[in-house]
Amino acid sequence: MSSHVDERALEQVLAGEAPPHVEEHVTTCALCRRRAAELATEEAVLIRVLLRMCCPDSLKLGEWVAGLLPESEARNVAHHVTVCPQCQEEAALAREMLHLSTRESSLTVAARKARRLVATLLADESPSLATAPFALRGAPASGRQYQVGSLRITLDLEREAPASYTIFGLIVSEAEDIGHFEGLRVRLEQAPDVEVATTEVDDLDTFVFAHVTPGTYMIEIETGEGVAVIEDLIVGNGQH
Amino acid sequence: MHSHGGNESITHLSNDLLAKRCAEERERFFRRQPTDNRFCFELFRRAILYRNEHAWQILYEQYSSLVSGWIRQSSGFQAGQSDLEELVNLTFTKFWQSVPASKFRSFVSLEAVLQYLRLCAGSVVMDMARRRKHESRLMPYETIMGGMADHRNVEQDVLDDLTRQRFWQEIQTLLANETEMKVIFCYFILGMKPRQIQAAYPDTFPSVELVYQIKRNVLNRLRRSKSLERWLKE
Repeated sequence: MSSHVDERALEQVLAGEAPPHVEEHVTTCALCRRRAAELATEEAVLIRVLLRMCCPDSLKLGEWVAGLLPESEARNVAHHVTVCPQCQEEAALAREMLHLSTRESSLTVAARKARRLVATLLADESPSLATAPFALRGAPASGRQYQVGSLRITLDLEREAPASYTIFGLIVSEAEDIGHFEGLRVRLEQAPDVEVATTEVDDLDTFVFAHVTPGTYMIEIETGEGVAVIEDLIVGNGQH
Repeated sequence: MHSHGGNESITHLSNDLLAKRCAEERERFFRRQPTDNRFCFELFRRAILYRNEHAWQILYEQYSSLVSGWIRQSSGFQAGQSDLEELVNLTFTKFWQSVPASKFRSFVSLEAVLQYLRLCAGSVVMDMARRRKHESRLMPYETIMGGMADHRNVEQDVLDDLTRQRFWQEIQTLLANETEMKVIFCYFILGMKPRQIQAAYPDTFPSVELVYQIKRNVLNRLRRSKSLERWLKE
């Protein structure tokens, strides 16, 4: 082949910035591939030894975000974060982790609590599955139906693994067509304002929470007129 | 919520009784009723200040599902990539290792303790994300090298900080100016790509070609260095 690529192009391949045709050439051309491998061997050693050697460890970065570091140390971390894109991303992750509940309480929780509509279990209509691992406190059944205003919510449970379940939900209203509830936000919580997962109702008015571990939960559905709340859902035997 | 005052009677309770009361209070919290956090806090106090294994085990049982929820909730967590239970274990281990008695005494409430536990969960998720990014940064190299060259994984190349510092100092002696330092620092230490470097410092690097050129010049120089040759061979 007459058009072997130059060293700059090989460096682009290693940096992950090469145009597709260059990458393809290096993949198929034995000579260029060998030259790239020589470069790669040297650079890989440098990357392995040097990469992120100046970054604070993850806990220190988290402590910095939480304002727990002494001033001089905090100044050093702050200076590093201004130049390090990776630490900037991770600091954002730490902020999200630490302040999620704070943000929730300051912005939405008060409004949510003001319009909570606790769902009523339709006990006589719920199928009785004595061995199912999904139970309401004080009642041993599964596949439950709840009523909140004009809404009827059906919950069912499927075991994925010995300690992992999927919760399936369906929202129905006689006054509305299928798909009416699409996009509603549904939260799975482990305690008030301790969110485990969030999802949205799909176009068939169903929602799913996968990989739910045994424990006691509540589900909140933002309906637009308030928040429909299903309390005391015990998944598995309720033991964590 | 109640304060931690009047702890005298609490300190005489057995771990099992504390566990029972702690679980009851958690239930009350779940039901949005007023709670008394002294029982859970006392378990943490025993676990940390007295390294009481039984108290620690109870705390793990009481809080592991909460920690698991925090981890799953984080956008940094990718389901299936790592075992959730292992991450929960790592969170408690990190908490245990990073909260000596002196630090625990600065926690004035159960909320403060749990906030730090949450911080540890975030740190564990971050560690996982770091490993993922590290692997991704080396992926083009590994792909090119395939089976024909050095193919060790990241974990095998863990060097202590001092050795890394010495290596970096060695490299610095071979850099001609601040511009070269910036390219090498950004590329190899911060893990930035040439386009990112150019975008971050457009005044220093009017074109991305200049970044590549400087990097190439430096690498050619490093290649000729006898002292670095020894490092690279090692």
